[in-house]
Amino acid sequence: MPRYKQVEEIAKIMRNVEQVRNIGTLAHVDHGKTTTSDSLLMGAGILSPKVAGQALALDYVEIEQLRQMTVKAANVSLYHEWEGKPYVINLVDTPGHVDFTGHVTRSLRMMDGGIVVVDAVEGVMTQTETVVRQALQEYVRPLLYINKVDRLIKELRLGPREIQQRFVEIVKEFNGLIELYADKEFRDKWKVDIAKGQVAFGSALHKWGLTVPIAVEKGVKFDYIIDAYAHDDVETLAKEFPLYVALLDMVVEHIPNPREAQKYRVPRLWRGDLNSEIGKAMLECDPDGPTVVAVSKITVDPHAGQVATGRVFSGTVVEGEEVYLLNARDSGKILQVGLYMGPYREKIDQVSAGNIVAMLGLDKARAGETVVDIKYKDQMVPFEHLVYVAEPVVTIAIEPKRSSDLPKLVDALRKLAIEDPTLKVYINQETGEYLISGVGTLHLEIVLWDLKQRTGLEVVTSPPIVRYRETVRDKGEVFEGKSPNKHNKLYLYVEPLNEETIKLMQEGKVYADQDWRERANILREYAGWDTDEARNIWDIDENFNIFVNKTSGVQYLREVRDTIVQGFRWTMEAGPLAQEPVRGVKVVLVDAVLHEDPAHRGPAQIMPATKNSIMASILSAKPTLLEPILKVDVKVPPAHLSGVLTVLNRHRGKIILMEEKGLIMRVLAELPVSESFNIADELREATQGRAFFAYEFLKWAPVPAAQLEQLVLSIRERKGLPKKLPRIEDFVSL
Amino acid sequence: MLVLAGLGLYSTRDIPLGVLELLRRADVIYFEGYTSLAPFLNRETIERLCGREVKEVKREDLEERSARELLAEAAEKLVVLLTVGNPLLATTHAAIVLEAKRRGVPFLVLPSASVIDGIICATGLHIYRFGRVTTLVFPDEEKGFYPLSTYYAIKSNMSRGLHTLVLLDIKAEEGRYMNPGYAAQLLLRLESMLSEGVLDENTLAIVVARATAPDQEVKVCTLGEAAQEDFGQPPFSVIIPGLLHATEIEYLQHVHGAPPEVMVRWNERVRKRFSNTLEV
Repeated sequence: MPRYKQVEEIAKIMRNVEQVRNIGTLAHVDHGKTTTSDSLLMGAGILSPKVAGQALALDYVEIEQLRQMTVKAANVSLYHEWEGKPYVINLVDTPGHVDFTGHVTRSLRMMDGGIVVVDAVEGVMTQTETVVRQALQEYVRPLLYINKVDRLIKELRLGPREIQQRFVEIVKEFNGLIELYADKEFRDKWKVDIAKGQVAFGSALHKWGLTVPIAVEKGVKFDYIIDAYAHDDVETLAKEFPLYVALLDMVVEHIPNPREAQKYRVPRLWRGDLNSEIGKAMLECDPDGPTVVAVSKITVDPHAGQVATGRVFSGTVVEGEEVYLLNARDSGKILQVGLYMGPYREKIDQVSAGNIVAMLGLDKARAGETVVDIKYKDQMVPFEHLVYVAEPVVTIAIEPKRSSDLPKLVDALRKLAIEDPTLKVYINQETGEYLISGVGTLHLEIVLWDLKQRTGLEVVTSPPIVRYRETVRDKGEVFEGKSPNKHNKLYLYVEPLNEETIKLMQEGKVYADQDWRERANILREYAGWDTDEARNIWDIDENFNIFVNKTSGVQYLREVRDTIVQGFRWTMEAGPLAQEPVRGVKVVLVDAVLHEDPAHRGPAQIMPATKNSIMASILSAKPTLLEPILKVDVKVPPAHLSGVLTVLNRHRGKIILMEEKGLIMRVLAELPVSESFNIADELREATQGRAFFAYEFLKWAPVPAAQLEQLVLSIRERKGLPKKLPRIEDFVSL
Repeated sequence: MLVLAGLGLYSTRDIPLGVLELLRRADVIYFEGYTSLAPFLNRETIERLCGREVKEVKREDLEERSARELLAEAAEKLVVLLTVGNPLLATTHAAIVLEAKRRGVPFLVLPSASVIDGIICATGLHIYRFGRVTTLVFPDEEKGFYPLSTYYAIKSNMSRGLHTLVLLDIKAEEGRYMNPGYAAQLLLRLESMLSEGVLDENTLAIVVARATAPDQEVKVCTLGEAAQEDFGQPPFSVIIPGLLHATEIEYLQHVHGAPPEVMVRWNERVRKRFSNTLEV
């Protein structure tokens, strides 16, 4: 039952960081993340008197109602007492779908520990591995919660010894992930020990949970639990051993407080100088240091406007404070400071280091922004640069059923795009259609669902269209690109970037506005770059292409440098084959002849010259289309395995792994996104609904050579381009 | 045959007689006016003068499409392409000549007075004392484009004691032109971006408005003053002087009313700043 707390009371606890924990729940899909979060919320909610009043008026706050709140809440603060001391536990919202990778990283930055929910029957699965790996990359300590123990008892009818044996297996698998992915320093320290209370087990569905120390203290054995299920008396279990107590006890005891955590996390998550004033303040989680907030999420509140939620790494966020947004490169004023009381936002004067804050007034902020005290704007290094981790792979066209609703729809889409940076909303200039692109069909389904929830609008959508990428497989020739007035000539060639370089860009280790020496060293050491080239990078775009200047002594080049870069970016947005974005290409400028007078070498001259040369070189470099490939994880009873294999085969699926997992078969396969749209229905049909599957984006891969030409032509036709293959002479004179 | 012909600068009265005669004989007449603001030299006034149809061509006809249609026509007919000022000085029409040569289309270039000599003539400065000519173009802040080279052209000329003729950008097709006030502010902004100590508010400037027109105006002032003043209708140019010759100072004093002590002080300033590089 929720406890009603005053804002002041919570604020007081928050000021003492030893009594604060920042956590999140992480899980493979369907392992019970939501029910686990609900249990926490129900058992240990804090509600302000205002909301509590409304709740009382409604007789009781039903869990379902609270749950709807949490779906959109960026954060939920929980209250818990442990060994007589009060604690505030901030439960950070994590995306339920591994699709949104950028979002996952940001959520993880907010927290110092995570409760990894694992299904007792299924054990560690693909996404368990993904979330544990991601948590460890961000130096978030994962603790284990083995959920759905009721299935072991009821479905598999295991006895006490077998249940314990199953726990030992899961713990072993879990610790295997920590061994594999944790930094050396934490490889042993962060392995979980069931005897020390670092593993909880229970059933979120039936709301009970235990750790070994609690079980010992209360003198409870597995027979007792099995018995309770036999007598259909799980409610007693929930009363005697509430799940939230087991989980929150575990969190308070084994997740470091923000100050302890920032000591080792800041040096790894932030690239700035640790000996600077800001660096020291963040290491110490100093409430008197310069204000630094890493924004994890933006929500658009219908009444208050845009709300930026983030973690205060140093200083104290105060209402009316002037701050600087490093990525937006703009200043702003915090109009209101809020903290989360349960799922609700309450106004407060200030929030200090180590806590989660909600800020109003920073309308230019986007998820991933670093907010800093304006006095330190030139000294601060952002937590993240504008790196686009998730690449949109699927697009749909959308329009309202009634055309008069269009403004409402556009407004709602715009807000959604502010909240979710992986969602792209744009207009097709030729047709006037509104298009939305996302990281998967699932992502777009959620967006549409969300849109309906918010606006109640009926919309019509087109079938999903796969977004391809264009790339090259060979080094291209140097082509002369002429400006329209023929007085400027640029000479460029393209070549493929190696996998190592693309990976460095995806991980944000190599980016556009990086110190050039640092970047050159990384590229040389980890991706085999030539020193000269690595030092002369002019630009890196968001589709993972790099522009290199290899000229020397070209007159006036400095003046047109930015224009050439703009031309490069413009070109890479739509390649020559089918006007799909170009990916993974190195563009090298080898020479340039520029007109004497700036009136004749403006952007309108230089940008087309750049484009013509790059386009021609791409066409000479064995160009191809890349298609997005999913990793599909199917669980199916052995009797229906062949049905699954038939469906996968029919859709160009490639089996990576088949294994027995308890009573089910698990199939891991690669599947092109273009083949995935009806896969759910087909699998259901082929297995009488017995297959369960999950998928995530895996990689880009060249389309089969035999299909390339047909695919290029069909995309060109769809886009209203001439239905013939592009030729080099379309861009340069030969 | 293709004839690229200059029209002169201000009105139809400036058109050379040779060009006028050609207009009567030509099969097709084209006029391009996208780099000029001459108020009395346009399609209508030329049509009225020669009593023939004149077709206007746009920049993309001559640039993106490489004057393809024009040259195809010129292979069989006598085609005249008219340009305000001098056809090869004011624009980049040399590319059309080259394209004609490549296609074997005969061509002829008929020069006329150019804006450059018009401006210099208006001021009374010596043509021998000029360094490189440059255009000050509009920056494109969104695309990160600033005309840095104009600043360096002025620096390089001044360091050798030479004047710089700065033509101010005209985007006739967009109806945009740069006025001297904007130009002065932009030049001062370039100085603050590059900080090489070439320009400041006290830098001497000779502003020429509407060169060769009856209401032509020449004003000797400082960049600071130019930034504040309204010089009326375009086109404009600004000369940033290097070392002024004694007879130039006399001309500017008596014809344009410039105070001689200001110009003498300016010469001292240039000598001091560029003592190492001045031509001896």
